[in-house]
Amino acid sequence: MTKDEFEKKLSDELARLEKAADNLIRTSGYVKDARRLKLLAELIREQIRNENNMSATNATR
Amino acid sequence: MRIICLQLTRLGDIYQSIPTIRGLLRVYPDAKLDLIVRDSFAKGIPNLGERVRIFELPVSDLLQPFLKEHATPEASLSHLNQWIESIKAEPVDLLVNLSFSPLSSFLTFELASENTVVRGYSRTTDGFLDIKDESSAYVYAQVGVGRPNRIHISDIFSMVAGVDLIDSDYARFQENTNDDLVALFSEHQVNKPFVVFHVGASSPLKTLSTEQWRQLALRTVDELKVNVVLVGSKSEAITQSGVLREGLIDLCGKTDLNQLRKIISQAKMLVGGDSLGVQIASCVGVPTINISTLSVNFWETGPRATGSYTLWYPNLREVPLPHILLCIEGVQKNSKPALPYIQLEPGFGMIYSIHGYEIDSWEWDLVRAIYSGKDFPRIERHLVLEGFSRLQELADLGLEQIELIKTGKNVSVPLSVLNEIDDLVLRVLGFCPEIAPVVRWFQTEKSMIAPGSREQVIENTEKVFKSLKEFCVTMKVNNSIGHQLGENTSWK
Repeated sequence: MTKDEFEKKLSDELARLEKAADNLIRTSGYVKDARRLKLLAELIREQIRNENNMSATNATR
Repeated sequence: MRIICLQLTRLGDIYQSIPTIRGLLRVYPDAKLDLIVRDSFAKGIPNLGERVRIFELPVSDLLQPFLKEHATPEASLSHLNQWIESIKAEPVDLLVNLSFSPLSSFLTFELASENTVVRGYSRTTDGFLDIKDESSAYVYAQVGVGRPNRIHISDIFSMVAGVDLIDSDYARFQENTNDDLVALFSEHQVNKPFVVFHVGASSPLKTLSTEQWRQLALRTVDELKVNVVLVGSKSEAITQSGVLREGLIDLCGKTDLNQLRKIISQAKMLVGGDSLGVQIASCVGVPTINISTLSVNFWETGPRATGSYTLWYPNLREVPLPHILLCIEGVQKNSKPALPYIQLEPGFGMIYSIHGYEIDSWEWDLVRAIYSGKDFPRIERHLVLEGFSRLQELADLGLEQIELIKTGKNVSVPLSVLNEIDDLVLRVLGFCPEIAPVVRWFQTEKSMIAPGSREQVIENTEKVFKSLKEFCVTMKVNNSIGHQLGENTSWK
């Protein structure tokens, strides 16, 4: 998988994950699974940002 | 007692967290400390003693399922649940989040229980960012590249953790030479004494080009008669053979992180961009020449080993190599380098003195006035005075709305005006960027107002607007009287 393909795949998964979390919050409230889906979404978001090596470390602070 | 320290940024920040970890262990002598880091950085962490365990956030395992063709979150979610429950199996008394990222805030919330004291970023029960302490609020508002902060990040970490550091917390690591390092030195003909050039960085914008490093290394060997060892990743290697000439060894891509730390610990000096090499040198007490530029904030991440200097250039591609050579020679001879330079000073917080550079300190002076009660800086531009006047009007407007809300009659209009004020503050910032520290302080303080009763929320909101008004009034009065009083006096 090239770097661009990797970023595209993660971006697609991030969008899916956020939608799943929002649906869960809408139907069941801010429950454990919703919180942890949000956590996974942030993990992917930071990965996409840090894979782009033009960002300094400070961007994640 | 169990302490968890969460450090999910890069290895350089992990190294800069070490004084705080030592401080926590000193302040809580009966405590054990669990340091949580990303899996990819765990192996590069030095031995922090028997009381410290390293836990790896399994980023690779959590991401892997998402890279499959028909990915679903179940596998990652299950893995994450197991990992969190394993960490929470033992109660956590103090959880210090040193990461300042959204991810770390979500994780902090998940790892804390009802009895856990939390410091740093977390989340509220309904998912909003929950900034737990004033130091973290300061980070949120004023720290980072392009921001005016001048307090070193390793000291900010200690403030977030709530510990006052002492000299021994910064003490250098004693690294023992191990057999594999001896073999590595022998294989590559490394002769002591030597200077390490760390040619790598997380971004090419933070370091010299390969050709610049090659020229600098060759001239250091030829003109200063100093052995030079180059370290970095494989892609940063300057030569394939490893040896450029006698006295110049290229070990890029030939060391692991532990070897890198040991090599730096044995060097007379480290020269490098504002990156991991500088932070390792600070931990192992090796004098450093930090080559810095706009894309980093040397005040926050510069070197801390005694005898260190920072050389700052607006464009790293146009660095005058003789200036760096003169600085290397100065450090080698324990004398002052050629101007301009930035010198490490003993102390805590703001630890650098500027020599020969013209660096505007207006925004930093404003930050110090806001957070530590120092004098507000003089306003030199009419537009800035206008900016503060407009901010004061908005503070007055906000306070009027709060009074109307307190009456309890038809609160929808004053509430909508309060929301409008946020946008109007940004418009003022648009024409007067100098007021940014005050605006960011205002936004952060408002975001820190915790959910509560209507009266509590109104009271806390009123406090923030009153403080905003006070800042604006002080700035304006100080400015008008200050001009009459002369240079070194102020009304405040």
